Amino acid sequence: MKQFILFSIAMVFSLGAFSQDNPTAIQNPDTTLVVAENQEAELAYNNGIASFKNKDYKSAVDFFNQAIGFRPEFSQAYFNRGSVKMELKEFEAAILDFNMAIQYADSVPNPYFARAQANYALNKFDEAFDDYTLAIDKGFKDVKAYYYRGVINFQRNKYEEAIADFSQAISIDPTFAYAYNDRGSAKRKNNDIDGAIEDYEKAVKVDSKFALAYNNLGTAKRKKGDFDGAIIDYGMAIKHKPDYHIAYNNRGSAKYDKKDYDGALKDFSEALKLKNDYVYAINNIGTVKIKQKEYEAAKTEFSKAIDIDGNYGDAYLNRGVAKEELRDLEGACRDWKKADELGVKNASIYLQDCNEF
Amino acid sequence: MKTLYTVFAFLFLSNIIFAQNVEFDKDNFSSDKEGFKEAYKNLKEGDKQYAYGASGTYVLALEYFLLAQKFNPNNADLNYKIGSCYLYSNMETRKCLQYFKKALELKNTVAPDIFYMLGRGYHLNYEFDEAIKYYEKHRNMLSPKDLELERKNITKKIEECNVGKQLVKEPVRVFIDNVGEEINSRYPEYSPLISADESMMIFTSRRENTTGGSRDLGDQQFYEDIYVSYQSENGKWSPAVNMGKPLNSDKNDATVGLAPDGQQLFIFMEGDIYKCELKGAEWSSPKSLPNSINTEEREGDASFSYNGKTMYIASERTDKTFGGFDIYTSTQSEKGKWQDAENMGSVINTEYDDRSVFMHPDGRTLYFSSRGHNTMGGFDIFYTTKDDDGFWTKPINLGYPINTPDDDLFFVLSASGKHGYYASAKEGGVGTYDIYMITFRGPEKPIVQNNEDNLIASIANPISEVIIEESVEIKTMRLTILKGTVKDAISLNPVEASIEIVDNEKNEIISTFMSNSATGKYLVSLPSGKNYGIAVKADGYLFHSENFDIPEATNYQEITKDILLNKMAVGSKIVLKNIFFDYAKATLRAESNAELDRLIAVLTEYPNIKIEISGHTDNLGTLQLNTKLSESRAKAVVDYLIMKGVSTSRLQYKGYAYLEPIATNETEEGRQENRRVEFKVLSN
Repeated sequence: MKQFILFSIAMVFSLGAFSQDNPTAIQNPDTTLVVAENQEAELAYNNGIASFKNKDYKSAVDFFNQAIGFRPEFSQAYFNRGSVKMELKEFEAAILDFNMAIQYADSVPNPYFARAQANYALNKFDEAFDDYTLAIDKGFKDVKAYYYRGVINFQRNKYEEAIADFSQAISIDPTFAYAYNDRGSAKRKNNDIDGAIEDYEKAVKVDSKFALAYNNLGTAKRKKGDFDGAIIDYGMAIKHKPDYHIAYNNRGSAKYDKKDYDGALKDFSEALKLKNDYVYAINNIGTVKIKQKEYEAAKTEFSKAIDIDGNYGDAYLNRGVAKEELRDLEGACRDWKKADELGVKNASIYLQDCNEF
Repeated sequence: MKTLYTVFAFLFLSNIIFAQNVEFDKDNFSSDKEGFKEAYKNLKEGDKQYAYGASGTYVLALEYFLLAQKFNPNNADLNYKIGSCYLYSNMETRKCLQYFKKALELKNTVAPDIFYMLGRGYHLNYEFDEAIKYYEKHRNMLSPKDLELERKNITKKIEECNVGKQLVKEPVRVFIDNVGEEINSRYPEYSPLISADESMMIFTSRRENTTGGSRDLGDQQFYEDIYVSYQSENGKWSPAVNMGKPLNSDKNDATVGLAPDGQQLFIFMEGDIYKCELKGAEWSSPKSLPNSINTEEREGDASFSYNGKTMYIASERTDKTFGGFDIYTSTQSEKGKWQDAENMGSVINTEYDDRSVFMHPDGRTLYFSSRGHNTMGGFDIFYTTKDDDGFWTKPINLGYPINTPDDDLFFVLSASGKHGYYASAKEGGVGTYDIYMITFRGPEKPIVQNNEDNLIASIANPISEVIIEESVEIKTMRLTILKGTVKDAISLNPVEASIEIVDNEKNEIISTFMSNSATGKYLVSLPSGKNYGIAVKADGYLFHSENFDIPEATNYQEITKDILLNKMAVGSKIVLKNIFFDYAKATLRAESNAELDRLIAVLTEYPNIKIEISGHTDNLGTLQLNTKLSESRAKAVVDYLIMKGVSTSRLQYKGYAYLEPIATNETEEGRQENRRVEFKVLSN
């Protein structure tokens, strides 16, 4: 399961691995003030909310149970109990509660959104998608419904639809940096690199410390052949997130593209310092060694990567190239065969040189 | 301290500024009269050889000059002559530069052409910009009259430098290896010829054990002889053996061409091309090619099309020439007579020398060396291909480092296209000219970089991307080598058989080869894009036929097929593999005619034999239907034979349906083998 940072219904949440000031959100619990007679259900419900705020989830569940016991059609109590279960990562149980909340108040949008979150957490993307849509249809005005539906569209490779959703999110909140970033990524997947660059630039404009967007901006520029621009952007990503090994690896590749092989080596090595089993950086060091015609050293690097990940097809392909340069055609062919078995695109073409083996 | 620096500076400068020409005058060497005497003697001996002006005498002159130069390194003329010896002796030519530079340093008027010679030196050393500078300097110093004479040559040399700059920038991906001391000696080896499968190399050498052991008066090197070496399975060459008489004589005998199957060798003797054939283990005496090929002028190289029906030669004949050596082609008439050689035209030939022709067994790629076209200096190797309309494309330079600013000649290519062989005078060789193997590595294989990004801000896991350059097509030669042995089915003794290749669609014989009587070996090159029928015939044996469909896009492959021939005897039978019927019918297709005609030839040759023609099917369908079909097909063959005049009384036919399979019916391949027509001898 991909790690997904969920919105929680009654608390501060953090979007993504890298915190940013915006958009943090607090969604107020559904409070119902109770003063009249025979309102035991409402009283228990309010107690449940108080416990939830104190992070006493067990008591919160007990109070919401009581509330439902007093009033079985109490939609908000189901909803809040579901929210507590979300917090406890009991997603299946949460869905059952959201179902009940919807059953007794099907025009309220919140339970649909919450159920979408639970479904997403369970990798039930189709159900999540439908629930985000229902939440929107029922009048859920928060950017997040559009944003997360956009994310699902992206994951389904439906980039046009993803772009439309991210645009809706942006129209609701023009300072929503994540939506700009992700729309940029959708455009990039659609081969609209200029559009991607424009969006990534907007993302870093609204959040000047958005390391991830700087990294993406660098990669988009690299795709356009603007290696110098890419190197600057990767540098900004590293500045705002000094342990960002991915940005180091990418900056290394931009330098490689510029034939600055020593600079590339430094960056790949830095990425490795931050993550010592980072096979991509090891592989990329090997590619630099090939360009520097240090074929033995290249072979050693690719072997290191293969030792860490025995199914690393690209490293086999590259090691084959190093071996061919070292005139070990038999060894090269063995590596290309393995790469081919692992589904590496060019391996079968390289194997055409291996008739005799 | 300051004074010491001044002394050093003075000494240093004096070497530059005051290095001056020291004449070979006894007064200049009064302290070493004996040494001077010896050096002077060497100088004069060298001068004698130098004056002769042949490549071999430059080598001899060099030996003397170098001794003299050791005694007096600062004589401008001597340095100039040593540079010239290196330049013209075809050995270590690049060394000329250091001597020309020194000659100029010692005396800037050492020779009128010193700037040109320096240009040559820099040119050979790949310092193209410097070379151009000196060629231009030389041009600028010429009188109008001399300029008129030399302008064309200088302009060409400058062009060559510009070509060299481009070619060196984009080297071709090859490994170049000396083939080793089993083949190369300290003497010149060149003109390697290989059989299509690289199992044999025949080449020319001027080593000291050449027949007669005497030297060519022209260049003072040992006479050329022909040598052979064989390659083992592990790629090692056997020690080269002098091929002896009748190929080698006391004079020059050089290799010029070898048929792809290695059974015919073409050699150069006294300005003409001669042919020798391998009969068993013995080579026949050289026989001069007819006047349609050989003329009074010099004919050099020869190569043959894969089917042996077309010959390509280099000739210095004066009629219909574009200048110098040109490449000519001749085809064989139906009666086997070589037609008058025709100039291959201006796409291939230039006003300069074009020679060392080699036709690849793929039947469409011609390699040659030229001093024209876009050479980077001297002879460069080029290739041209025949397009679909039969025209030759503009020749393409094989590129650096195969080609060099010096002469690159005698290129041949294996049928697979992977290995080329040529002669080159590289530094670090076994001797002067050595034979080298080029391994063609195809286009650069892109390596893969791996990167990833956090494309979605709310998902912590990055998304990977593989950065890879566009894939490249790796082309291989489009041909099939069919090789193996022909042997007696019972005794397993080698059989000398004729191997006939038929274009089944056109129903015409493309070529006829013989298997070797001593080994039974044969080798046939089959370019892609045809359906071939192959018939193997030998006296006293039933013929054997095969069918090969090789589609246009088929890459290089080698098929080994050992053929066992059955003697003509009662009960002997053969499968007629080149008989074709319409689908599920008994209608003979025209492509069958060649096979049927072979059958008629057997019946004519053996007028008393009676035969049975049998039809066989696979096991698809009912026995009844298959019996009927197989019988109808056998009858169709018999009807054809009767129509061609074979007596009915000699012929029987029968349909066996699927009752006598020769292969499994479980696979399509097996079923195809089972669908056949057989011929069996009933009595003789």
